Amino acid sequence: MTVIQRRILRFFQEHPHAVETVRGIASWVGVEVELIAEALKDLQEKRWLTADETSAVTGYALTRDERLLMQIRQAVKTETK
Amino acid sequence: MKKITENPAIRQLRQALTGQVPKAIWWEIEGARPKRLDYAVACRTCRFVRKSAKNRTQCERRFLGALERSRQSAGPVQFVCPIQRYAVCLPVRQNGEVHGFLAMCHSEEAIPRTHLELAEATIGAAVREVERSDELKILSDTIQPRCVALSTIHTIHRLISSTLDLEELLPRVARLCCQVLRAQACTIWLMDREKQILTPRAVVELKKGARGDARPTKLGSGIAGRVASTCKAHWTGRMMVVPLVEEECIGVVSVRRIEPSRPFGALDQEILTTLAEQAVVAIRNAQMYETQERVTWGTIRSLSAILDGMDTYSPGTVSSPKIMAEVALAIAREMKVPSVQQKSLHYAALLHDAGRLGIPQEILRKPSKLEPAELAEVKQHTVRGASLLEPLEVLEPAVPIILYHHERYDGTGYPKGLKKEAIPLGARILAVANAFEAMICDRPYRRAMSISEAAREIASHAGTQFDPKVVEAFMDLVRSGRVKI
Repeated sequence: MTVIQRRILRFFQEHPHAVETVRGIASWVGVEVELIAEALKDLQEKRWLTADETSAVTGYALTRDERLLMQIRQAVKTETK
Repeated sequence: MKKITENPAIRQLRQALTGQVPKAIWWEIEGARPKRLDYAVACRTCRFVRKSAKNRTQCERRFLGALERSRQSAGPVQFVCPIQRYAVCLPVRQNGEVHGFLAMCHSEEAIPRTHLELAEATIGAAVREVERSDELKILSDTIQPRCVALSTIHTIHRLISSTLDLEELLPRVARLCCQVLRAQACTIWLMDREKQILTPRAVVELKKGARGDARPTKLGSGIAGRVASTCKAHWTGRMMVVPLVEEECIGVVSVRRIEPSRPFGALDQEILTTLAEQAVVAIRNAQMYETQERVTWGTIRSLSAILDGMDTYSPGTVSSPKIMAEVALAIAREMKVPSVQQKSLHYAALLHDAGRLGIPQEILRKPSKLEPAELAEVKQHTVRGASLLEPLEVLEPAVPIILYHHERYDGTGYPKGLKKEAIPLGARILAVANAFEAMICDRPYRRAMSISEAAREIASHAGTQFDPKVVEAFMDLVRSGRVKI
Protein backbone atom coordinates (compact mmCIF):
# COMPACT_ATOMS: atom_id res chain seq x y z
CA MET A 1 0.00 0.00 0.00
CA THR A 2 1.34 3.43 -0.90
CA VAL A 3 1.63 6.37 1.48
CA ILE A 4 -1.15 8.17 -0.41
CA GLN A 5 -3.46 5.18 -0.19
CA ARG A 6 -2.85 4.98 3.54
CA ARG A 7 -3.66 8.67 3.91
CA ILE A 8 -6.87 8.22 1.94
CA LEU A 9 -7.91 5.26 4.08
CA ARG A 10 -7.13 7.13 7.29
CA PHE A 11 -9.28 10.02 6.11
CA PHE A 12 -12.21 7.65 5.53
CA GLN A 13 -11.57 5.86 8.83
CA GLU A 14 -11.76 9.21 10.63
CA HIS A 15 -14.85 10.21 8.64
CA PRO A 16 -16.67 6.95 7.87
CA HIS A 17 -19.84 8.77 6.83
CA ALA A 18 -18.05 10.82 4.16
CA VAL A 19 -18.88 10.63 0.46
CA GLU A 20 -16.21 12.52 -1.47
CA THR A 21 -15.10 13.33 -4.99
CA VAL A 22 -11.50 12.86 -6.14
CA ARG A 23 -11.01 16.62 -5.82
CA GLY A 24 -12.47 16.62 -2.32
CA ILE A 25 -10.26 13.75 -1.17
CA ALA A 26 -7.24 15.49 -2.68
CA SER A 27 -7.92 18.61 -0.65
CA TRP A 28 -8.53 16.68 2.60
CA VAL A 29 -5.35 14.61 2.35
CA GLY A 30 -3.28 17.37 0.74
CA VAL A 31 -2.16 15.47 -2.37
CA GLU A 32 -2.50 16.30 -6.07
CA VAL A 33 -5.72 15.19 -7.78
CA GLU A 34 -3.92 13.01 -10.37
CA LEU A 35 -2.09 11.04 -7.68
CA ILE A 36 -5.29 10.57 -5.70
CA ALA A 37 -7.13 9.35 -8.80
CA GLU A 38 -4.39 6.77 -9.37
CA ALA A 39 -4.43 5.62 -5.74
CA LEU A 40 -8.22 5.32 -5.72
CA LYS A 41 -8.22 2.81 -8.60
CA ASP A 42 -6.48 0.19 -6.49
CA LEU A 43 -8.56 0.89 -3.38
CA GLN A 44 -11.72 0.56 -5.46
CA GLU A 45 -10.46 -2.69 -6.99
CA LYS A 46 -9.91 -4.10 -3.50
CA ARG A 47 -13.50 -2.94 -2.74
CA TRP A 48 -12.19 -1.04 0.28
CA LEU A 49 -13.82 2.05 -1.15
CA THR A 50 -17.08 2.12 -3.05
CA ALA A 51 -17.64 4.44 -5.99
CA ASP A 52 -21.01 5.92 -6.90
CA GLU A 53 -20.62 6.99 -10.50
CA THR A 54 -22.74 9.32 -12.57
CA SER A 55 -21.92 11.03 -15.84
CA ALA A 56 -21.12 14.22 -13.92
CA VAL A 57 -19.38 13.05 -10.76
CA THR A 58 -18.07 10.03 -8.83
CA GLY A 59 -18.54 9.86 -5.07
CA TYR A 60 -16.15 7.63 -3.10
CA ALA A 61 -17.04 6.19 0.30
CA LEU A 62 -15.75 3.65 2.76
CA THR A 63 -17.04 0.11 2.31
CA ARG A 64 -19.78 -1.08 4.66
CA ASP A 65 -18.56 -4.68 4.53
CA GLU A 66 -17.30 -5.63 8.01
CA ARG A 67 -14.80 -8.15 6.64
CA LEU A 68 -13.27 -5.55 4.33
CA LEU A 69 -13.27 -2.94 7.10
CA MET A 70 -11.25 -5.38 9.20
CA GLN A 71 -8.78 -5.80 6.31
CA ILE A 72 -8.43 -2.01 6.09
CA ARG A 73 -7.81 -1.68 9.83
CA GLN A 74 -5.13 -4.34 9.68
CA ALA A 75 -3.49 -2.89 6.56
CA VAL A 76 -3.36 0.64 7.96
CA LYS A 77 -2.12 -0.64 11.35
CA THR A 78 0.62 -2.76 9.77
CA GLU A 79 1.79 0.13 7.61
CA THR A 80 1.82 2.52 10.59
CA LYS A 81 4.08 0.13 12.54
CA MET B 1 4.60 19.86 29.85
CA LYS B 2 6.25 17.53 27.35
CA LYS B 3 5.00 19.66 24.44
CA ILE B 4 6.59 22.72 26.09
CA THR B 5 9.95 21.11 26.89
CA GLU B 6 10.09 19.74 23.33
CA ASN B 7 9.45 23.18 21.85
CA PRO B 8 12.33 24.28 19.57
CA ALA B 9 12.79 27.55 21.53
CA ILE B 10 13.28 25.62 24.77
CA ARG B 11 15.73 23.25 23.09
CA GLN B 12 17.75 26.25 21.92
CA LEU B 13 17.65 27.74 25.42
CA ARG B 14 18.98 24.52 26.91
CA GLN B 15 21.73 24.34 24.31
CA ALA B 16 22.73 27.94 25.00
CA LEU B 17 22.88 27.45 28.77
CA THR B 18 24.61 24.09 28.45
CA GLY B 19 27.29 25.89 26.41
CA GLN B 20 28.08 27.97 29.48
CA VAL B 21 27.59 25.18 32.01
CA PRO B 22 29.16 22.12 30.42
CA LYS B 23 28.10 19.68 33.13
CA ALA B 24 24.59 21.07 33.47
CA ILE B 25 21.94 18.64 34.66
CA TRP B 26 18.47 19.38 33.27
CA TRP B 27 15.24 18.54 35.05
CA GLU B 28 11.71 18.42 33.61
CA ILE B 29 9.44 18.39 36.62
CA GLU B 30 5.70 17.75 36.25
CA GLY B 31 3.19 19.37 38.60
CA ALA B 32 3.18 22.52 40.72
CA ARG B 33 4.01 20.78 44.01
CA PRO B 34 6.18 17.74 43.36
CA LYS B 35 6.70 15.45 46.34
CA ARG B 36 9.71 13.59 45.04
CA LEU B 37 12.36 14.07 42.37
CA ASP B 38 13.61 11.47 39.92
CA TYR B 39 17.39 11.24 40.27
CA ALA B 40 17.97 8.80 37.40
CA VAL B 41 19.49 11.45 35.11
CA ALA B 42 21.26 13.39 37.86
CA CYS B 43 23.02 10.28 39.16
CA ARG B 44 24.85 9.92 35.87
CA THR B 45 26.64 13.25 36.34
CA CYS B 46 26.58 14.15 40.04
CA ARG B 47 28.80 11.95 42.22
CA PHE B 48 27.24 13.37 45.39
CA VAL B 49 23.70 12.14 44.70
CA ARG B 50 25.02 8.92 43.20
CA LYS B 51 26.92 8.14 46.38
CA SER B 52 24.01 7.59 48.80
CA ALA B 53 20.31 7.86 49.39
CA LYS B 54 21.05 10.13 52.29
CA ASN B 55 22.79 12.58 49.97
CA ARG B 56 19.88 12.44 47.54
CA THR B 57 17.45 13.21 50.36
CA GLN B 58 19.61 16.16 51.40
CA CYS B 59 19.68 17.46 47.81
CA GLU B 60 16.00 16.79 47.28
CA ARG B 61 14.96 18.71 50.40
CA ARG B 62 16.82 21.79 49.22
CA PHE B 63 15.56 21.39 45.63
CA LEU B 64 11.88 20.98 46.62
CA GLY B 65 12.15 24.05 48.81
CA ALA B 66 13.43 26.09 45.87
CA LEU B 67 10.64 24.73 43.64
CA GLU B 68 8.06 25.81 46.21
CA ARG B 69 9.57 29.31 46.38
CA SER B 70 9.53 29.44 42.58
CA ARG B 71 5.89 28.37 42.56
CA GLN B 72 4.93 31.03 45.08
CA SER B 73 6.79 33.82 43.32
CA ALA B 74 5.89 32.45 39.89
CA GLY B 75 9.41 33.37 38.80
CA PRO B 76 12.90 31.88 38.55
CA VAL B 77 14.63 30.91 41.80
CA GLN B 78 18.37 30.29 42.11
CA PHE B 79 19.80 28.25 44.96
CA VAL B 80 23.02 26.56 46.07
CA CYS B 81 23.01 22.78 46.40
CA PRO B 82 24.68 20.73 49.19
CA ILE B 83 27.96 20.54 47.21
CA GLN B 84 27.99 24.32 46.66
CA ARG B 85 26.93 24.16 43.02
CA TYR B 86 24.36 26.59 41.64
CA ALA B 87 20.92 25.49 40.49
CA VAL B 88 17.97 27.33 39.01
CA CYS B 89 14.21 26.52 38.94
CA LEU B 90 12.13 28.02 36.13
CA PRO B 91 8.37 27.71 36.56
CA VAL B 92 6.23 26.73 33.54
CA ARG B 93 3.02 28.72 33.80
CA GLN B 94 -0.10 28.25 31.74
CA ASN B 95 -3.20 30.42 32.19
CA GLY B 96 -1.59 32.01 35.28
CA GLU B 97 -1.00 28.67 37.01
CA VAL B 98 2.28 26.79 37.48
CA HIS B 99 2.06 23.36 35.81
CA GLY B 100 5.64 22.26 36.25
CA PHE B 101 9.26 23.35 36.21
CA LEU B 102 12.28 23.37 34.02
CA ALA B 103 15.35 23.25 36.26
CA MET B 104 19.10 23.16 35.82
CA CYS B 105 21.79 22.36 38.37
CA HIS B 106 25.48 21.52 38.71
CA SER B 107 26.72 24.95 37.66
CA GLU B 108 30.00 26.03 39.22
CA GLU B 109 29.03 29.67 38.91
CA ALA B 110 25.88 31.59 39.64
CA ILE B 111 23.58 32.05 36.66
CA PRO B 112 23.48 35.76 35.72
CA ARG B 113 20.18 37.57 36.23
CA THR B 114 19.98 38.44 32.51
CA HIS B 115 20.20 34.73 31.61
CA LEU B 116 17.37 33.94 34.00
CA GLU B 117 15.20 36.67 32.52
CA LEU B 118 15.91 35.38 29.01
CA ALA B 119 15.04 31.82 30.10
CA GLU B 120 11.80 33.02 31.70
CA ALA B 121 10.80 34.89 28.54
CA THR B 122 11.63 31.89 26.33
CA ILE B 123 9.51 29.57 28.45
CA GLY B 124 6.65 32.10 28.32
CA ALA B 125 6.90 32.24 24.52
CA ALA B 126 7.00 28.43 24.25
CA VAL B 127 3.92 28.13 26.47
CA ARG B 128 2.03 30.67 24.35
CA GLU B 129 2.99 28.78 21.21
CA VAL B 130 1.78 25.47 22.66
CA GLU B 131 -1.44 27.14 23.82
CA ARG B 132 -2.04 28.53 20.33
CA SER B 133 -1.32 25.15 18.78
CA ASP B 134 -3.74 23.47 21.24
CA GLU B 135 -6.43 26.01 20.42
CA LEU B 136 -5.93 25.39 16.72
CA LYS B 137 -6.14 21.65 17.28
CA ILE B 138 -9.42 22.03 19.21
CA LEU B 139 -10.75 24.32 16.50
CA SER B 140 -9.71 21.90 13.78
CA ASP B 141 -11.21 18.91 15.65
CA THR B 142 -14.49 20.79 15.96
CA ILE B 143 -14.62 22.28 12.49
CA GLN B 144 -13.17 19.51 10.34
CA PRO B 145 -15.97 16.94 10.85
CA ARG B 146 -18.51 19.65 10.03
CA CYS B 147 -16.55 20.64 6.92
CA VAL B 148 -16.37 17.00 5.83
CA ALA B 149 -20.12 16.64 6.45
CA LEU B 150 -20.79 19.78 4.43
CA SER B 151 -18.59 18.56 1.62
CA THR B 152 -20.38 15.18 1.73
CA ILE B 153 -23.77 16.89 1.45
CA HIS B 154 -22.44 18.83 -1.54
CA THR B 155 -21.16 15.65 -3.23
CA ILE B 156 -24.49 13.94 -2.59
CA HIS B 157 -26.31 16.90 -4.08
CA ARG B 158 -24.19 16.54 -7.22
CA LEU B 159 -24.72 12.77 -7.33
CA ILE B 160 -28.48 12.87 -7.01
CA SER B 161 -29.06 15.90 -9.20
CA SER B 162 -27.15 14.39 -12.10
CA THR B 163 -29.87 11.89 -12.98
CA LEU B 164 -33.46 12.37 -14.07
CA ASP B 165 -34.22 8.67 -14.10
CA LEU B 166 -36.29 7.78 -11.02
CA GLU B 167 -35.32 4.10 -11.23
CA GLU B 168 -31.67 5.13 -10.95
CA LEU B 169 -32.20 8.02 -8.55
CA LEU B 170 -34.19 6.37 -5.76
CA PRO B 171 -31.82 3.41 -5.09
CA ARG B 172 -28.94 5.88 -5.19
CA VAL B 173 -30.57 8.11 -2.57
CA ALA B 174 -31.28 5.04 -0.40
CA ARG B 175 -27.68 3.82 -0.71
CA LEU B 176 -26.31 7.26 0.14
CA CYS B 177 -28.60 7.57 3.18
CA CYS B 178 -27.24 4.23 4.45
CA GLN B 179 -23.67 5.38 3.82
CA VAL B 180 -23.89 8.80 5.40
CA LEU B 181 -25.91 7.69 8.41
CA ARG B 182 -24.08 4.37 8.78
CA ALA B 183 -27.51 2.75 8.67
CA GLN B 184 -28.12 -0.87 7.72
CA ALA B 185 -31.39 -0.39 5.83
CA CYS B 186 -33.22 2.33 3.98
CA THR B 187 -36.60 2.44 2.26
CA ILE B 188 -37.98 5.21 0.08
CA TRP B 189 -41.75 5.27 -0.42
CA LEU B 190 -43.46 7.47 -2.97
CA MET B 191 -47.02 8.62 -2.57
CA ASP B 192 -49.84 7.56 -4.87
CA ARG B 193 -52.33 10.36 -4.22
CA GLU B 194 -55.21 8.71 -6.06
CA LYS B 195 -54.96 5.41 -4.21
CA GLN B 196 -53.87 7.07 -0.95
CA ILE B 197 -51.01 4.63 -0.51
CA LEU B 198 -47.24 4.78 -0.14
CA THR B 199 -45.40 2.46 -2.48
CA PRO B 200 -41.84 1.38 -1.61
CA ARG B 201 -39.77 2.35 -4.67
CA ALA B 202 -36.25 1.67 -3.32
CA VAL B 203 -35.20 -0.75 -0.58
CA VAL B 204 -31.57 -1.13 0.49
CA GLU B 205 -30.59 -3.76 3.07
CA LEU B 206 -26.91 -3.86 3.91
CA LYS B 207 -27.00 -6.47 6.63
CA LYS B 208 -28.90 -9.63 7.46
CA GLY B 209 -31.66 -8.77 9.87
CA ALA B 210 -31.72 -5.13 8.80
CA ARG B 211 -35.05 -5.35 7.04
CA GLY B 212 -36.08 -2.47 4.87
CA ASP B 213 -39.84 -2.23 4.54
CA ALA B 214 -40.96 -3.40 1.12
CA ARG B 215 -44.74 -3.41 1.61
CA PRO B 216 -47.09 -0.71 0.36
CA THR B 217 -48.59 1.26 3.23
CA LYS B 218 -51.92 3.04 3.49
CA LEU B 219 -51.75 6.73 4.21
CA GLY B 220 -52.22 7.21 7.95
CA SER B 221 -51.44 3.63 8.96
CA GLY B 222 -48.09 2.35 10.23
CA ILE B 223 -45.16 4.61 11.02
CA ALA B 224 -44.46 5.58 7.39
CA GLY B 225 -48.15 6.16 6.70
CA ARG B 226 -48.50 8.38 9.76
CA VAL B 227 -45.36 10.36 8.87
CA ALA B 228 -46.74 10.89 5.36
CA SER B 229 -50.19 11.99 6.56
CA THR B 230 -48.93 14.29 9.33
CA CYS B 231 -45.72 15.46 7.56
CA LYS B 232 -43.97 15.03 10.93
CA ALA B 233 -40.76 13.04 11.32
CA HIS B 234 -40.57 9.98 13.58
CA TRP B 235 -37.35 9.39 15.54
CA THR B 236 -36.16 6.51 17.70
CA GLY B 237 -32.62 5.35 18.44
CA ARG B 238 -32.87 2.63 15.82
CA MET B 239 -35.21 4.10 13.26
CA MET B 240 -35.72 7.49 11.65
CA VAL B 241 -38.55 8.28 9.26
CA VAL B 242 -38.87 11.67 7.58
CA PRO B 243 -41.40 12.97 5.07
CA LEU B 244 -40.37 14.10 1.61
CA VAL B 245 -42.17 17.41 1.45
CA GLU B 246 -42.44 19.92 -1.37
CA GLU B 247 -45.58 21.96 -0.70
CA GLU B 248 -47.22 18.61 -0.01
CA CYS B 249 -45.86 15.22 1.01
CA ILE B 250 -44.62 13.25 -2.00
CA GLY B 251 -43.20 10.33 -0.02
CA VAL B 252 -41.26 9.12 2.99
CA VAL B 253 -37.70 7.97 3.65
CA SER B 254 -36.87 5.67 6.54
CA VAL B 255 -33.51 4.40 7.81
CA ARG B 256 -32.75 1.68 10.33
CA ARG B 257 -29.75 0.75 12.44
CA ILE B 258 -29.61 -2.65 14.04
CA GLU B 259 -26.72 -2.07 16.46
CA PRO B 260 -28.31 -1.04 19.79
CA SER B 261 -24.92 0.30 20.92
CA ARG B 262 -24.99 3.05 18.28
CA PRO B 263 -28.41 4.69 18.34
CA PHE B 264 -29.25 7.57 16.02
CA GLY B 265 -28.55 10.97 17.56
CA ALA B 266 -29.59 14.58 17.01
CA LEU B 267 -26.91 15.11 14.34
CA ASP B 268 -28.18 12.04 12.43
CA GLN B 269 -31.68 13.55 12.45
CA GLU B 270 -30.31 16.79 11.08
CA ILE B 271 -28.38 14.98 8.35
CA LEU B 272 -31.37 12.86 7.28
CA THR B 273 -33.58 15.95 7.15
CA THR B 274 -31.01 17.70 4.93
CA LEU B 275 -30.72 14.63 2.69
CA ALA B 276 -34.51 14.40 2.43
CA GLU B 277 -34.71 18.08 1.46
CA GLN B 278 -32.17 17.50 -1.31
CA ALA B 279 -33.78 14.24 -2.40
CA VAL B 280 -37.22 15.80 -2.72
CA VAL B 281 -35.97 18.34 -5.27
CA ALA B 282 -34.24 15.63 -7.30
CA ILE B 283 -37.30 13.34 -7.10
CA ARG B 284 -39.66 16.12 -8.20
CA ASN B 285 -37.37 16.98 -11.13
CA ALA B 286 -37.22 13.31 -12.16
CA GLN B 287 -41.02 12.97 -11.85
CA MET B 288 -41.58 16.07 -13.96
CA TYR B 289 -39.08 14.81 -16.52
CA GLU B 290 -40.87 11.43 -16.56
CA THR B 291 -44.19 13.17 -17.21
CA GLN B 292 -42.64 15.32 -19.93
CA GLU B 293 -41.09 12.22 -21.50
CA ARG B 294 -44.46 10.44 -21.52
CA VAL B 295 -46.06 13.45 -23.24
CA THR B 296 -43.23 13.63 -25.79
CA TRP B 297 -43.42 9.92 -26.59
CA GLY B 298 -47.17 10.09 -26.85
CA THR B 299 -46.91 12.97 -29.32
CA ILE B 300 -44.26 11.26 -31.42
CA ARG B 301 -46.13 7.95 -31.50
CA SER B 302 -49.31 9.76 -32.50
CA LEU B 303 -47.45 11.62 -35.25
CA SER B 304 -45.89 8.38 -36.47
CA ALA B 305 -49.28 6.64 -36.46
CA ILE B 306 -50.82 9.54 -38.42
CA LEU B 307 -48.04 9.32 -41.02
CA ASP B 308 -48.54 5.55 -41.30
CA GLY B 309 -52.26 5.96 -41.69
CA MET B 310 -51.97 8.62 -44.38
CA ASP B 311 -50.64 6.03 -46.80
CA THR B 312 -47.71 8.05 -47.97
CA TYR B 313 -46.13 4.97 -49.52
CA SER B 314 -46.64 3.40 -52.89
CA PRO B 315 -49.63 1.07 -53.22
CA GLY B 316 -48.81 -2.41 -52.03
CA THR B 317 -45.97 -1.13 -49.94
CA VAL B 318 -45.78 -2.58 -46.47
CA SER B 319 -43.63 -0.32 -44.34
CA SER B 320 -43.09 -0.38 -40.63
CA PRO B 321 -41.26 2.47 -38.91
CA LYS B 322 -41.47 0.32 -35.79
CA ILE B 323 -39.35 -2.46 -37.31
CA MET B 324 -36.95 0.15 -38.63
CA ALA B 325 -36.73 1.79 -35.21
CA GLU B 326 -36.05 -1.55 -33.53
CA VAL B 327 -33.28 -2.43 -35.97
CA ALA B 328 -31.74 1.05 -35.73
CA LEU B 329 -31.79 0.92 -31.92
CA ALA B 330 -30.32 -2.60 -31.88
CA ILE B 331 -27.43 -1.38 -34.06
CA ALA B 332 -26.96 1.68 -31.83
CA ARG B 333 -26.83 -0.50 -28.70
CA GLU B 334 -24.37 -2.85 -30.41
CA MET B 335 -22.19 0.18 -31.22
CA LYS B 336 -22.54 1.44 -27.62
CA VAL B 337 -24.06 4.74 -28.71
CA PRO B 338 -24.89 6.85 -25.62
CA SER B 339 -28.50 6.54 -24.44
CA VAL B 340 -29.29 10.21 -25.16
CA GLN B 341 -28.32 9.72 -28.81
CA GLN B 342 -30.27 6.46 -28.93
CA LYS B 343 -33.38 8.37 -27.91
CA SER B 344 -32.88 10.88 -30.76
CA LEU B 345 -32.36 7.97 -33.16
CA HIS B 346 -35.61 6.42 -31.95
CA TYR B 347 -37.50 9.68 -32.57
CA ALA B 348 -35.90 10.00 -36.02
CA ALA B 349 -36.69 6.40 -36.97
CA LEU B 350 -40.38 6.88 -36.13
CA LEU B 351 -40.60 10.16 -38.05
CA HIS B 352 -37.98 9.75 -40.78
CA ASP B 353 -40.44 9.96 -43.67
CA ALA B 354 -42.53 12.84 -42.32
CA GLY B 355 -41.43 14.87 -45.37
CA ARG B 356 -43.43 12.59 -47.70
CA LEU B 357 -46.47 14.54 -46.56
CA GLY B 358 -45.60 17.30 -49.00
CA ILE B 359 -45.11 15.04 -52.04
CA PRO B 360 -48.04 14.78 -54.45
CA GLN B 361 -49.94 11.51 -54.11
CA GLU B 362 -49.63 10.73 -57.83
CA ILE B 363 -45.86 10.60 -57.49
CA LEU B 364 -45.95 8.54 -54.32
CA ARG B 365 -48.49 6.14 -55.76
CA LYS B 366 -46.87 5.83 -59.21
CA PRO B 367 -46.27 2.10 -59.77
CA SER B 368 -43.78 2.62 -62.63
CA LYS B 369 -40.33 4.19 -62.70
CA LEU B 370 -40.24 7.86 -61.68
CA GLU B 371 -39.26 10.60 -64.12
CA PRO B 372 -36.14 12.62 -63.15
CA ALA B 373 -38.28 15.58 -62.01
CA GLU B 374 -40.47 13.27 -59.91
CA LEU B 375 -37.42 11.63 -58.40
CA ALA B 376 -36.09 15.08 -57.50
CA GLU B 377 -39.42 15.79 -55.77
CA VAL B 378 -39.19 12.56 -53.78
CA LYS B 379 -35.62 13.38 -52.77
CA GLN B 380 -36.91 16.59 -51.24
CA HIS B 381 -38.71 14.58 -48.50
CA THR B 382 -35.66 14.60 -46.22
CA VAL B 383 -35.42 18.40 -46.33
CA ARG B 384 -39.18 18.81 -46.00
CA GLY B 385 -39.29 16.39 -43.06
CA ALA B 386 -36.47 18.22 -41.29
CA SER B 387 -38.06 21.64 -41.73
CA LEU B 388 -41.47 20.27 -40.70
CA LEU B 389 -40.12 18.89 -37.40
CA GLU B 390 -37.51 21.57 -36.69
CA PRO B 391 -39.88 23.81 -34.68
CA LEU B 392 -40.35 21.02 -32.11
CA GLU B 393 -37.50 21.67 -29.68
CA VAL B 394 -37.55 18.15 -28.30
CA LEU B 395 -36.80 16.80 -31.81
CA GLU B 396 -33.84 19.11 -32.39
CA PRO B 397 -31.20 16.33 -32.10
CA ALA B 398 -33.31 14.04 -34.33
CA VAL B 399 -33.60 16.57 -37.18
CA PRO B 400 -30.06 16.04 -38.65
CA ILE B 401 -30.67 12.28 -38.61
CA ILE B 402 -33.90 12.73 -40.58
CA LEU B 403 -32.24 15.24 -42.92
CA TYR B 404 -29.23 13.05 -43.77
CA HIS B 405 -30.56 9.49 -43.61
CA HIS B 406 -30.36 9.21 -47.43
CA GLU B 407 -26.74 10.31 -47.59
CA ARG B 408 -24.34 7.62 -48.78
CA TYR B 409 -21.00 6.83 -47.21
CA ASP B 410 -19.17 7.49 -50.51
CA GLY B 411 -20.75 10.94 -50.90
CA THR B 412 -23.23 10.12 -53.68
CA GLY B 413 -26.37 10.44 -51.56
CA TYR B 414 -28.74 13.34 -50.93
CA PRO B 415 -29.59 16.09 -49.97
CA LYS B 416 -25.98 17.37 -49.55
CA GLY B 417 -23.74 14.58 -50.77
CA LEU B 418 -21.98 14.34 -47.39
CA LYS B 419 -19.20 11.77 -47.05
CA LYS B 420 -18.14 9.33 -44.35
CA GLU B 421 -17.99 10.77 -40.79
CA ALA B 422 -19.42 14.09 -42.03
CA ILE B 423 -22.76 12.23 -42.05
CA PRO B 424 -24.14 12.12 -38.46
CA LEU B 425 -23.75 8.65 -36.90
CA GLY B 426 -27.51 8.41 -36.28
CA ALA B 427 -28.14 9.03 -39.99
CA ARG B 428 -25.57 6.36 -40.97
CA ILE B 429 -27.32 3.87 -38.69
CA LEU B 430 -30.77 4.86 -39.93
CA ALA B 431 -29.60 4.41 -43.54
CA VAL B 432 -28.80 0.74 -42.88
CA ALA B 433 -32.01 0.16 -40.90
CA ASN B 434 -34.06 1.94 -43.60
CA ALA B 435 -32.57 -0.12 -46.43
CA PHE B 436 -33.00 -3.35 -44.47
CA GLU B 437 -36.61 -2.55 -43.66
CA ALA B 438 -37.33 -1.71 -47.32
CA MET B 439 -35.82 -5.02 -48.48
CA ILE B 440 -37.70 -7.25 -46.07
CA CYS B 441 -41.06 -5.64 -46.94
CA ASP B 442 -43.12 -6.41 -50.03
CA ARG B 443 -43.00 -3.94 -52.91
CA PRO B 444 -45.34 -3.76 -55.96
CA TYR B 445 -42.45 -4.73 -58.23
CA ARG B 446 -40.84 -7.45 -56.03
CA ARG B 447 -41.48 -9.77 -53.14
CA ALA B 448 -39.89 -9.25 -49.74
CA MET B 449 -36.39 -10.65 -49.26
CA SER B 450 -35.43 -12.92 -46.37
CA ILE B 451 -33.35 -11.50 -43.54
CA SER B 452 -30.19 -13.28 -44.75
CA GLU B 453 -30.69 -12.08 -48.34
CA ALA B 454 -31.21 -8.51 -47.18
CA ALA B 455 -28.19 -8.74 -44.89
CA ARG B 456 -26.00 -9.98 -47.76
CA GLU B 457 -27.20 -7.10 -49.92
CA ILE B 458 -26.37 -4.59 -47.18
CA ALA B 459 -22.95 -6.16 -46.57
CA SER B 460 -22.16 -5.88 -50.30
CA HIS B 461 -22.62 -2.09 -50.04
CA ALA B 462 -20.41 -1.57 -46.98
CA GLY B 463 -17.97 1.25 -47.68
CA THR B 464 -19.98 2.60 -50.65
CA GLN B 465 -23.58 3.16 -49.60
CA PHE B 466 -23.15 2.30 -45.93
CA ASP B 467 -20.66 2.96 -43.12
CA PRO B 468 -18.63 -0.30 -42.78
CA LYS B 469 -18.65 -0.02 -38.97
CA VAL B 470 -22.43 0.23 -38.90
CA VAL B 471 -22.69 -2.70 -41.31
CA GLU B 472 -20.34 -4.72 -39.11
CA ALA B 473 -22.55 -4.08 -36.05
CA PHE B 474 -25.64 -4.93 -38.08
CA MET B 475 -24.09 -8.19 -39.37
CA ASP B 476 -23.16 -9.17 -35.81
CA LEU B 477 -26.81 -8.76 -34.88
CA VAL B 478 -27.95 -10.83 -37.85
CA ARG B 479 -25.39 -13.57 -37.21
CA SER B 480 -26.41 -13.85 -33.55
CA GLY B 481 -30.09 -14.03 -34.51
CA ARG B 482 -30.92 -10.76 -32.76
CA VAL B 483 -32.66 -9.29 -35.82
CA LYS B 484 -36.23 -10.56 -35.98
CA ILE B 485 -39.25 -9.41 -37.94
